[in-house]
Order: sequence, then structure tokens, then C-alpha cells
Amino acid sequence: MSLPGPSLEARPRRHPDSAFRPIADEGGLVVLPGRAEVKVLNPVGIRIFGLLDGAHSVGEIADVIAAEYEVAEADAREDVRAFLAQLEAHGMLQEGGH
Amino acid sequence: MSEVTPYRRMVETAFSQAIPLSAQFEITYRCNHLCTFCYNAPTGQREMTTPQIFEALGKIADFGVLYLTLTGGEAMCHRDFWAIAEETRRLGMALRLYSNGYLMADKAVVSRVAALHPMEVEISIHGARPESHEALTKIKGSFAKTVKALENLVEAGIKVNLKCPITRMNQDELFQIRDIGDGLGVFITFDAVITPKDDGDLSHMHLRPDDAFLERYWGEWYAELHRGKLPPKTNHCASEGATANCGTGRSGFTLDPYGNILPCVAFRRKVGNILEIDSLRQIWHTSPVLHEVRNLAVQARQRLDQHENGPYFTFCLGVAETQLGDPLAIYPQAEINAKSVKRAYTLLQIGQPITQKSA
Repeated sequence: MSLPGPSLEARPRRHPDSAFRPIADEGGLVVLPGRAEVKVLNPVGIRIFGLLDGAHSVGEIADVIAAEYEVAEADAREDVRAFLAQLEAHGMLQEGGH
Repeated sequence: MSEVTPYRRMVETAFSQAIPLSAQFEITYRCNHLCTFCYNAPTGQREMTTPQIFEALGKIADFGVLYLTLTGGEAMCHRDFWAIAEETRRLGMALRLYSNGYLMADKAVVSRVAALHPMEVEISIHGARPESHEALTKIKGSFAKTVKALENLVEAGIKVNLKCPITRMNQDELFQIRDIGDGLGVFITFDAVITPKDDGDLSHMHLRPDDAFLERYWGEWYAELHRGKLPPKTNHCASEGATANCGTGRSGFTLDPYGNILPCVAFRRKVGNILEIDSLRQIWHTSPVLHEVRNLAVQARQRLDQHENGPYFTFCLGVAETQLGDPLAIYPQAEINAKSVKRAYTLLQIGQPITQKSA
């Protein structure tokens, strides 16, 4: 059974219309102006969102998370892919961006 | 007590740590209306050039501002408005636009606005009829254009807020003004405080609604006009229970057309000039002006807490300073509003315990 979310080689981009800001250690806000929505992400979520610049691969993002949050690489990969699938479902990624 | 949502919690963290989430950028004082009660007070200095505005936008974005409001004057009267708005979006900030709507009576203009994917567009309306609206804007035909703009924006799927500053000239037609918003499915907010001009000129203050009206407005009318919503007990930019009266110099800041950085749109003490600094980080936590302004906002809250109508005040330090020369002095409008809001809550018996345990 394949895991949800993009492959480890994909280089996803956040939605080009989105604006985001980390806030202290609590996480951050993502504004989706086209949908007039604001999403709240936890600290790991906003860290990942900030890395969705099209330059970082999913695998590289998972490595960053594994190192910064001291989780096993395999868990980080699974979690990052699942999180990206959620972002995609909420229209927070650029379509066809990975 | 209402539940604290994750969003509200995050906004409160930003407020307490003075992390500015929003900024208001007055890109020009040019305007196609001649509103008698406008608070703008151009000094005659040269406004920033478009490249300078771009430089300012870059510094605002670099500082991490999430929401940027373009305003004026009438922002759309800036000759490079479209380039400025596009740059705001390119830099990753959510765009809000404050406008009188006059130029958006043209569908082609609204299509360009839609392409910017603004977070929202806020349109000012001053009456329910051409006669009342235009008595304040002084521009014939402006009422029809504003209403047409609202229709165009709604049709384009853009989120619109309608805003009405209450004056003696429109105070008797608020329900009809609300009906215009309702007819289009647009939420309206009324503002009961007419502010002095930025330079302290009070000559238009006679336009403020009369005291008897304010009692009716905060009492019988408010909830009906706002679909059951109760009158606010705090400033919109501070939560109930916050240690500071408002978010001036804390949750946001304002930039005027000359590049001056101000604590907020109403409290216009110069913090610095954006063209003379490398980064807003340089001054945000070190500026003595901002430090004083934040302290004043805390002192204002403390002072209001000791007032008999304290829990019912919406108070603006900027209005107090321009009107009375002291940012902590309680100006008559705030006093009347607080008394009327308290009366409204007392009449509705809001905030009283429903049952009491017997001894």
C-alpha cells in the first residue's frame, strides 16, 4: 500500500497566493486570500510550510524535521508526506507544483 | 465566556509579544472625493516615488507583516496603484484595500482587483441616498458609483466589507444603509466616532452624531443593526482582558505617503522614516517612541479600569491626543459612548449571573 502524499523526490511549492508568518514558538498563520481563509498551523507545520519553496524536496524537508525535532527519519518522511497531502486537500499548495 | 480558538490564541500571543501582523500603508493623499470629515492632513511635502514605495514594501514584507492594507487618500488614485498592489502580493503579503469604490463602478477595474486576489476590499458609504452620501463626499454621482462598485465586487466574488462613519447627516438612515449591505450580502460596520484631523483641526467635529442619538445607537439600535451582535467593550485591535488598551505600535503600524512610520493610523507620533532605516527590525524593539506609545496604551487601560464605566470603553489614544493634547485624557465622545454601552448592557442584563446559589 502506498503512503499518501507526494514522492520524496517531489519539490512542492506553497500556494503562490498564500501569505504566512511564524508566531513565537506557537506555530503560525497561513492566509489564503483567494479563499478568504486563515489557517493555523502548529510549529512543525509552519516550519514545513516555510520550506515549500520549490527548492526543497520532500525528502530534504523530512530530513530537516527529523533533525530539528529529533524524530526518526522514517517517521518524519511519513508524517511530512501525510501533512503535504492535507495541505493539498485544503488548497494550500500550488497545483501541479510537485 | 466564548471559547478561545487557536487563531485567537495566536493573535493574542502576537499582541502580547508585540509581533506586528498587519500594517496600513497610505500610498497617497490624492483622492477623488472631498469628504468634509476626512482625517487626512497633507503637509505639502513630496510624497514617496514609486521606487521608494517599492523599497518600503520590501522592508514591510521582510519584517514579516502578514496583512497589508493599501489606503490613502484614495489608494486607487495613485498613478501606479496596480504595480504597487501587484508588488504587495508578489512579496507574499495578504492584501486589503480601503476605497471609496468610485473607480470600481467600472467592471474592468474590478476584474483587475479580482486578479490581485485581495483578502478583502473595504468600501466606505456615507448615506442611503445620493443626497446624504454626496452631502459628505461633495462629489455628484458618487453614491451611484459606490453602490455599483459594491455590486461589481460581489459579482466578482471578492469579500467586501462596508463601512459607514456615522455623522449627523446620516444618523437617521442607518437601517436603510444596512439594507443596502444586506441586499448584496455584504457585512456592514458603523463607526460612531468622528476623529479630528491628523493635524488637530477640529473644525468638522460638529458633524459628529448628537448625544441622544448615541444613546439610542448603542442601546436599542446596535444589536438590530448588527444582526444580534452586542456593542464592543474593547477596541477592535485588543482582546477583552488585554493589558494594553489597543494595538497601537504593537500589533501593527502605519506608513504615511512621506514614508513616516507611525504607531497606528490614529496615533500619529513619528517613529522614524522607512527610507532612512535598513530594516524595521532596527527600530521595532528599540524605538523610544514605540516604547512610550506601548506604555501609554497600558496606562490607558489601567486608567480606564478605574473609571466607573471602565469595562465599556472603546478608547483611542490618538483621538485623545489630537482632541485634548493628552493621549490619556478621556474625550467626551468616548465618555458618552461608554456610558451608553454600559446602559445597554445593564438593560439587557448581560454579564449578570443567571442563578445564584443560596447561602
